[in-house]
Amino acid sequence: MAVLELNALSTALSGSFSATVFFPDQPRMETKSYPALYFLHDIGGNDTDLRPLHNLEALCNELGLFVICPALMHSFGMDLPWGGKYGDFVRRELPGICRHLFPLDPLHQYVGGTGGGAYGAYWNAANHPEAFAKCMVVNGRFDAAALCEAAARGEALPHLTRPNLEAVFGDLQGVRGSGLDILRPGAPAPKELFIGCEEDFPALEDSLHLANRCKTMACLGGTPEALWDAGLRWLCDEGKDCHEKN
Amino acid sequence: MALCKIDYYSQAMQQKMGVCVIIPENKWGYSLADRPADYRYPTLWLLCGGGFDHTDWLRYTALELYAAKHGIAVVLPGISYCGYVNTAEGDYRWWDQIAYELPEYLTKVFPLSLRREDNFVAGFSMGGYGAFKFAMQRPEMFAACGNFSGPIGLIPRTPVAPDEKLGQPCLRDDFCEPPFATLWAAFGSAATRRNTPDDNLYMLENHVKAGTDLPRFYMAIGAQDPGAQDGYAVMDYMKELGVDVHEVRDQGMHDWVYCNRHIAAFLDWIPLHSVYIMEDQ
Repeated sequence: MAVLELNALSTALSGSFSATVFFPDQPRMETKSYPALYFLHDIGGNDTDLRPLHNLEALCNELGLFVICPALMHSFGMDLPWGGKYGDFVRRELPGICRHLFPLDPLHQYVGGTGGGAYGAYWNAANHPEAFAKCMVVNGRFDAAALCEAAARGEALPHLTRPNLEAVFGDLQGVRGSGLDILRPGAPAPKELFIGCEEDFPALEDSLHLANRCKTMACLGGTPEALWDAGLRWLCDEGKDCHEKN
Repeated sequence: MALCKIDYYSQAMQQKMGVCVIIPENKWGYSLADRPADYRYPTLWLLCGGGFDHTDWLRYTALELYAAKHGIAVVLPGISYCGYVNTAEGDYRWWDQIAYELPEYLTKVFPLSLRREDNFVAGFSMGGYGAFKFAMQRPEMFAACGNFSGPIGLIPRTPVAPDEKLGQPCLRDDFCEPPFATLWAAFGSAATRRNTPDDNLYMLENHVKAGTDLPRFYMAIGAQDPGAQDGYAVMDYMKELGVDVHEVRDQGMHDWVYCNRHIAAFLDWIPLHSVYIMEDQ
């Protein structure tokens, strides 16, 4: 059970960044390349958010998988017009840095996320299919249009201010139906998608909507640990116990 | 700099252990993503002194800056007060963890060169003893070994009573108390460590007799260090044996100021081959 805290320099972000990396322990490490999941944290979180997930280290060890969680501020893993190019960072630079540092297989490069990070993971996987082979989202908040419209109405949002959202989405009233609205009809979808969602999660309906629309492995209910277990096994082609759609 | 603070489950220690790894970045505004594929870094295995852990070299010196200047990766294990041995009491296998498990593991996780000419070992104080011992036990692994204020000849070369304790000699009346109890528990009796692989000078003599291709040695100890005279005697003995040693007898205490000065000087001194230095690109 191994975890490391990584600090390095990024050109996309114009400075240092932090990431937490979960990877196989010493007896499991071999001289070969490993698959990697780049996992985007929820809004208000940071790279350490996955540490309390008590089965994650054991799963990485068992499955022979690297899980890399970068700190992304309030970016959703999207490019900011005036600042960090977090989308470019997630899709290109971070995997490049990690492939330089660790023995990672570029053909088995995945993206995932939770909460607002799930939105960013889905958007990046759907709009840049060359970057990631699969996408895994857990308890995602996908309705960016509704979020932006609520902010525009002056509603208080957890961990977010209106300028936070404007930095990512621009005109808050213009998101619905745009390329940033992943719930709009005909929006592109990730090549392969795992959707995990707890049954009492407030945004469950959005997960159900995407699960019905995409080529998806969907897991509903259970605990976050159970959803992660199913999701990581699916990434590593060991998932057989979820509801497969389409 | 790319700094990795790692927690992993050590098979040798049967518990989670910390270790830090520096992968050098040489200039702000560059990214490791732009480095050549398959590049493997020259590596310094740098051991801390007694009572310190895997973070102390980072906190008390400008090590990351020096690593970047030279384009060298640095591996930093911790040791507590356990003398770079598998302990006599308590079965803590520090030495197995540091000298065998970590190289095996970390060269698979990170792009660290496996070539002898790219690998170096050094340490401060007790870490100097450990670094020298690393070089004695695995001479094929290192091109050079640095010792900053370390008690190389910690194990007595003359016979001692079976119950004689071993460790830093008592230099003042108040200098052998609680911390050294841990050190003594690590080493056990002096007699059981004499003429064993833990006995650096015994190993050195045997290597010289056998004609082993040893690393080059950088040995530094300041005149104000309480162990200076012992250290200088070891340097004299190494030269007498014909060992390739770069000796530094300068002014300095047994402290991090001295460490900071000599880790910089050591990195200037070691022969680095095919180093990827970003500033030159």
